Amino acid sequence: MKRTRGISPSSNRDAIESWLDVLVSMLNLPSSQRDQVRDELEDHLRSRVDDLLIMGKSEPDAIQAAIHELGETAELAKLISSASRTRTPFRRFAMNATFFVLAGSIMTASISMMMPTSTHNATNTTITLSEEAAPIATAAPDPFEAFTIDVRNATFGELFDEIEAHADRPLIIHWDMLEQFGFSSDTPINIDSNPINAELVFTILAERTEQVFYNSMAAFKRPDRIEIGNRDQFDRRTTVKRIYDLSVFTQPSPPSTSNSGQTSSVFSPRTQHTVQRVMDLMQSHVSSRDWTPNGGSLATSSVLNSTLVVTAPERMHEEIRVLLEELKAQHESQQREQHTQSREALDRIRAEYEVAKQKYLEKSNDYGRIELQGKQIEQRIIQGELSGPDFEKAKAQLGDLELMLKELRIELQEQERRYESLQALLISAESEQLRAGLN
Amino acid sequence: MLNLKQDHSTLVVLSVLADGPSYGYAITKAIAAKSDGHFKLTASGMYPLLTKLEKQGLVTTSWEEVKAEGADPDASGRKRKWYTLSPKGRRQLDKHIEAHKQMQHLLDNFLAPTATATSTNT
Repeated sequence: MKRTRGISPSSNRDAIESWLDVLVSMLNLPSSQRDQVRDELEDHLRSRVDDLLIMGKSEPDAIQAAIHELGETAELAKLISSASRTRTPFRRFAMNATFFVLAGSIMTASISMMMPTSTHNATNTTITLSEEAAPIATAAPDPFEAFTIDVRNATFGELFDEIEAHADRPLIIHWDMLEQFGFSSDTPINIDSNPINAELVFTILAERTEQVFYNSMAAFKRPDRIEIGNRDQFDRRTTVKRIYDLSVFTQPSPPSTSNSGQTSSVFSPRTQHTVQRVMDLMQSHVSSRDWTPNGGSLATSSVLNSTLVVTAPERMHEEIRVLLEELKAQHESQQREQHTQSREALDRIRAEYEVAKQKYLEKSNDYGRIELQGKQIEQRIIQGELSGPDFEKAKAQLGDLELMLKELRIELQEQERRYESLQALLISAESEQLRAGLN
Repeated sequence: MLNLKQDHSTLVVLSVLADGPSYGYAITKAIAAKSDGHFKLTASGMYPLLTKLEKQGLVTTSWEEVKAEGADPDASGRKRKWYTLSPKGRRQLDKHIEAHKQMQHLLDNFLAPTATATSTNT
């Protein structure tokens, strides 16, 4: 089915098509949306042209004026793309919610790792404090989970004796640490319950100490031994400084040149902001109250360019690694999506540019050919080679050629505008792609 | 001729649509006509704005096929996108109008003494 173009379709109407081609090629939108934008703007242009024709303008002038009134093509394309992609408040909420669910799951995992007080489910609770213990825990049954104990009349000494009897490693009890919580060998456990799993007993006791002292009784499981004492002291024993490279989250600014001509690498405010955000996330979601800015005394962090220096117990480093891996995976997935989109946009622009270049060259050739043809006829008239009907025919032909040249000039200008605009867009998109690749 | 700013553009476009459904080019003409040619909403202002209004649910849209006079009845025409004010858009417009009236009233309070003083002096 052919489409009706308006009041008086002619070759000049193609200028609208050409302009729409350029605009659509600049839209960073899915093809269905690009088609809708094209249809809507075509209706606008043709309605305007129809009005201008009624007002007495010539068709080419009307088309030129209508296109000119729409303003800068690239700017219009950018604004329409941006408006179409703008998220509604609900979608923004949904996206944030996704992030917080992710962050929340990381936080929950952290809590279950570091605070046995958070759950009473003995089978799910882990009181592992150091990474060395993990292989042992999976290789052999946890001695804490292996048996139940009648706690109604039991003392701490009896509890640890039971644990030692079932453990596959020596048990070292730091009574000096436990005495800070008021626990000694003959202190009753004082849990009113039927025989329960030893790990649950330990969890309840840890919770009690946590509530009173903000510092928990803890088991420090190493391959060759199990130590029981207090968490802070174990933490301090395993406190190490680690450096985390955050460059994957940041985009360094292009090198800037100072007045002296020396080139220096400058980290943009965006980079600093990103690193700060990662640090804030870490201090909120990994053992938050242990960080010095949050009033704690176990962990400190500082930033140097895109590097994060953290001094903290091993258990916190493990959680930091998990958090950073999660964030990195999410960031990389977003980056991949952006790269795919920009590559597709670049391919589209390149294809449009090639077509525009070809059309421009074809129109230039047409123009040159017709101009030459006209000059040849003119020459023959001047030299008196033609007379009678031939002379009249040549004059009419010359008039037609001049009209064609006039129309071609307008088309050529349009093609040139489109060609140059696409060329600029292509250079800009290629530079962007190159810079993204270098980064 | 005044180019409309974003806040005013929303008010103006919604108020044009309050008179009935319309399409892009007709909206620009209606704005020019209603303001005696003093207001101009450019395409780069209007079409992104209409897109935003649609996404916010303030307007609903539909498409119509338009054929030129005397065109081949079998030929397909060009497509025209119509915008209709939604109930949410109507409420938003009422809010805009109310806010505008309040602002107008406040400004009148400031301007009234000056106007009195001016008339006294003359």
